Amino acid sequence: MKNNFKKGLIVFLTFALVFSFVGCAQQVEEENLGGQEQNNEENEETALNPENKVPKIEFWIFSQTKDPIRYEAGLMIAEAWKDLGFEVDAQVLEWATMSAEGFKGHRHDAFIVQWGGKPERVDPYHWLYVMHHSETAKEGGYNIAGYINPKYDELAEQFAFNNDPQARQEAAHEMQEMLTRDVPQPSMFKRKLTQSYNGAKFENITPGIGEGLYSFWNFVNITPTGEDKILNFGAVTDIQLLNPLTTKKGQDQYMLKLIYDPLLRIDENGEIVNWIASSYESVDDTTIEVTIRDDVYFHDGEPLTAEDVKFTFDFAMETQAPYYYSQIKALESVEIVEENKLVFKLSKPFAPFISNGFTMCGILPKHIWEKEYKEKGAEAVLQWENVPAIGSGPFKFDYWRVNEEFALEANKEHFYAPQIDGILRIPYTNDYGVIQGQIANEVDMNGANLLPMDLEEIAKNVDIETVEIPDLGSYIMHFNMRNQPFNDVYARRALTMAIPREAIIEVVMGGQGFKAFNPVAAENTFWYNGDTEELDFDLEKAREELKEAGYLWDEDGKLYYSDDFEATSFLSE
Amino acid sequence: MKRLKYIFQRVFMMFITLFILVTILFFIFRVIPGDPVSMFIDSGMDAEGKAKLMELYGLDKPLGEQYVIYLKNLVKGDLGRSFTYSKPVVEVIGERFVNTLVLTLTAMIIAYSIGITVGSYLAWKRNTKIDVIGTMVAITVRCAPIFWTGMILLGIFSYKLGWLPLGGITSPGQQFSGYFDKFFNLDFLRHLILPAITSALYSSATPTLLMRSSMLEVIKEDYIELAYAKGLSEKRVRNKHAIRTALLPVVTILAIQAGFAIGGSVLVETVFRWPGMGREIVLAVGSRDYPMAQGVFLLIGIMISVFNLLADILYSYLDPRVTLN
Repeated sequence: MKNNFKKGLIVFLTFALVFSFVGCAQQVEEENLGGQEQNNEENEETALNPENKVPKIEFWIFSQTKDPIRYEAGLMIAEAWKDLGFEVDAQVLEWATMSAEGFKGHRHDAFIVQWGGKPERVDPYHWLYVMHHSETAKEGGYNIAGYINPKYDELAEQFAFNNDPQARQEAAHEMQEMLTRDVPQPSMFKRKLTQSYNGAKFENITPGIGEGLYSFWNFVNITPTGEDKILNFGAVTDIQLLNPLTTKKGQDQYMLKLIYDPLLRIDENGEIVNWIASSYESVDDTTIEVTIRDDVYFHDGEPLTAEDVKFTFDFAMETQAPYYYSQIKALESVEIVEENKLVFKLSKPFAPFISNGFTMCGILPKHIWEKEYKEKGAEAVLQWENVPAIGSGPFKFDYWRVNEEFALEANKEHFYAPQIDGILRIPYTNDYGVIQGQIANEVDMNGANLLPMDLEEIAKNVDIETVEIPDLGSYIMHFNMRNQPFNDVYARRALTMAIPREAIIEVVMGGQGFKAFNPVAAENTFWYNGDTEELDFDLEKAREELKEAGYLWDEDGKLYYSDDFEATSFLSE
Repeated sequence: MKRLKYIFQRVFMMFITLFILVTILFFIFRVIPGDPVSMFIDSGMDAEGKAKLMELYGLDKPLGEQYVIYLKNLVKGDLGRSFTYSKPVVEVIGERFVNTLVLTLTAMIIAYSIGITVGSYLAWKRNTKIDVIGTMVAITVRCAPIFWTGMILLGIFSYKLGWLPLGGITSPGQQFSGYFDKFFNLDFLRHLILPAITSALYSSATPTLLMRSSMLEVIKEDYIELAYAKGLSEKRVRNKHAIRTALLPVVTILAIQAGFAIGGSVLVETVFRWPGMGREIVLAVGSRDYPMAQGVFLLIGIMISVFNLLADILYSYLDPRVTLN
C-alpha cells in the first residue's frame, strides 16, 4: 500500500513539474507579445488598426512522401509569401482530405494541383471552360478558385458552343489573356517528363503527346528486337476496375484504351484521326454523320456493327454512365440510317463533342452489355467488374492476378495490330521498386516521371534509355477567391509574382522543368496564345502593385489594408 | 457444465464487442474528411459524373439510413462492394487473406520454434555470458522497426547479392493451375523466405523472452529437484519436465499473437510487395474505400477476439489450477 502511494506521488510530482514549465513558457511568450504590441503602438505615428490586418493564408501542401516536388515547392513559396508580408501557415495535408475539402468543397485558401496533360485536353475545353466558367464554381465543380466574370463567361460560351475553328481560336486567345491578367488559379511550372525503357529489347518508341510512353500509339507501335516479345511494364499500384463507364483511375484508362476502340482517336501529335469511324462530317451545327468500318470484330468473334455504336451512346445517356456521360451530355439522339452509317443529333452546338465524345468513349459490345443491363439493372451494370473485358481493340484481356500482375494479349486480327505479342503490367508499391525492377530487367518500360536521383539510379543498367516530352499539363496554384485576401486581384497578382519559379525548377526539379504561366501548353500551337502577361518572379513589382492598390506594411513588414480599401475582383472587363 | 457456461458467456461478450466495433468503424470512416471520389481529378468525369458515382456507392443517403442498410447486409454475410475494385468485399478479402495467412503461419512457426528452443536454452544457461548476449539480441531485434529489418535484409540478399527476389509473391509471367500449384513450388518459396524471416525475427523476441522467464520460474520448483534426485540426466529434466510446464504461458501468447499477426503485418507486406490484407488496409483507407476498410478491420477484430477466446479456453484446459469463477 505504502509502495503504491509513493509511486503515485512521484508520478503526480513529475506531471506537476512538466505542466508548470509549459505554463511558464506560455506566459513568457504572451508577456513578450504584449510588450511588442505596446512598442508598436508607441513607435507608429499612424497606428495600424489590427482589424485591417490581411488575414492569414492557410496553405495546404502535400507530404514529402506523396510528392516531394509539391512539398518542397510549397515550402519555398510559403517563405516567399512571408517575405512579401503575408502571414502564411503551411500545412501538410493528406490528399484525400485536401481533395474533399479544397477540390470539391472549395473550403481552402490555397493549394497546388498537378494537372495531367492528356491528349483529350489538347482542345482546351477543360482548361478554359470547365475550370473557369462561373457555372462550375459550385461545389464539386472544377472552377476551384471561384472565378466569376460575366465577360469571361460570354467568351467561354462562344468558344464551347460553336463549331467554327477561327471563332473558337479567337475566343480562346482572349480568354487566355484574361486569365493571365486576373490570375484566379495561375499555372506555375511544368515537368519535362522523362520516361525510361529498355532500348536493347525494344525499339520504335512512339511517345505520344502529353502521355509519352503511356500513349496508345506507343503500345501498338513498339517493336521487340529479340526473342522476348512481351512488354513488361511497371507501375506503382495495380489496375483497379476494368469498367469503362465508371473507372476513376488514369492507369485503368490506359489499359481500357487498348482493349476498347472509340470512333476516333487522337494521334501522337494531338490530331484527330479516324478509327472505327472511316469518315465523319458535320452536316450542320448540331448534326454529325459518321460512317464506320466493316472489318472490326470483338474479341469473342462477334462483328462490331452500327448497332453496337448506337447501343453504346444510347446506353451511356440512359444510365448516365459517369465517364461517358460527362463527354456526351449534348447528345440528343443517334440513329442508324444505313448499314454502316449513323447520324448524331446534338441539342445544341458543342465543339468538344467530336474531340472528346468520339475519342474517349470506347464502343461496347451490345450483345454482352445489353444482357447484363436487362438482367441486373443500371446500378449493377455501372458497378460491374467486367472481367474479362471484351472489346475490339488491338489488345485482348488475358488474365489478372490482383496486386501481382495484369496481362494483355495482342489481337493480331485487328486492323492496326500491335508489333508485340502481349503486355505484362506489374504493380510495385513505390517508384523506387519500379526502378529496381528496371535495373534487374524485370521491367522493360516505366511510365513514371524520373527525377534526377532516379536518373542516376537507372544509369546502372546501360540498356535503359530515356525519352523526354514536355508536359501538356502544369502545376496550378488554386487560390480561393471566396476568401480574403484572394478576393482582391492585386493580392493574387502579388502572390503570383512572389512564386520563385526559376529557383523551384532548379532546386526542386533538378532542372527538369519549364516555367508555365498559361494553363494551355505552349506546345499546343493552334490554341496557345503566346502574347499574354507573364507574372514572373519579381518581389519589387509585387510590392509596388500592392502599394498602389492600397496595402500598407507595419513595423514587422506584415501587410494591412488601408482604411478605405476596396477589393477588386478582376481587371479584365 | 461450468466450463460450457463460461464459454457461452465469453462468446456472448465477443458478439457485443464486435457489434460495438462495427458501429465505431462505420461512423469513424464517414466522419473523417475526404470521400472516395473527389481525389480522382484526372478521371475525365465532371461534377455530375462524380455525384453519380457517389450515388452508386450509396453515399448520398443520410448516415442513419446507410448504417441500417450496412447492418442488414452484414447479418446476411454481405460486407458490401469495394469502391475501388467494384467486387464484393468478401471476395477481395478472401484472395488477400490466403496470402497473408501463408506468410503469417510460416512466420509464426519459425518464430515460435526459435522462441521456445532459444528461450529455454537461455534460461538453462542463466546468468552466463550466453544468457546476457542472447537476451540483448532478442530485445534489439524486437526494438528494431520491422520495416527497417526488412529493408536491411532486402538490401543485402536481394539488391547486393541477388540471391533472392526483390519482392512480390511470384516471378513475372508465371501461370498457375490452382492453389496447390501456386504455393508448392520453389519460386514461391524463394519469394516467401525474406518476408517470413523478417516477420519471424520480429515476432520471435516475445516467445523467447517469455519462455526464458517462464523456465526460470519452473526451474525453481520442487518437482525439478525431485527429478534430479531421481537421477535423470540434465537434458531429460529440461526436455521432459521443465519445458512442458514452462510452455503454458507461451501457448496462450501464441494464440493472442497469432490473432494480431493476422491483422496483416502491414509493414512487411508493404516492404516486400506482398499482396496480402495489410497492404489492402493502407490502400483502402487512403482511397476512402469504406466497405473495404470496414471489412478488413472487422476481420482483424474478429480474429483477435476469437483467438483471445481460444487462448482463454485453451488455458483452462491446460492448467488444472485455473478455476472458472
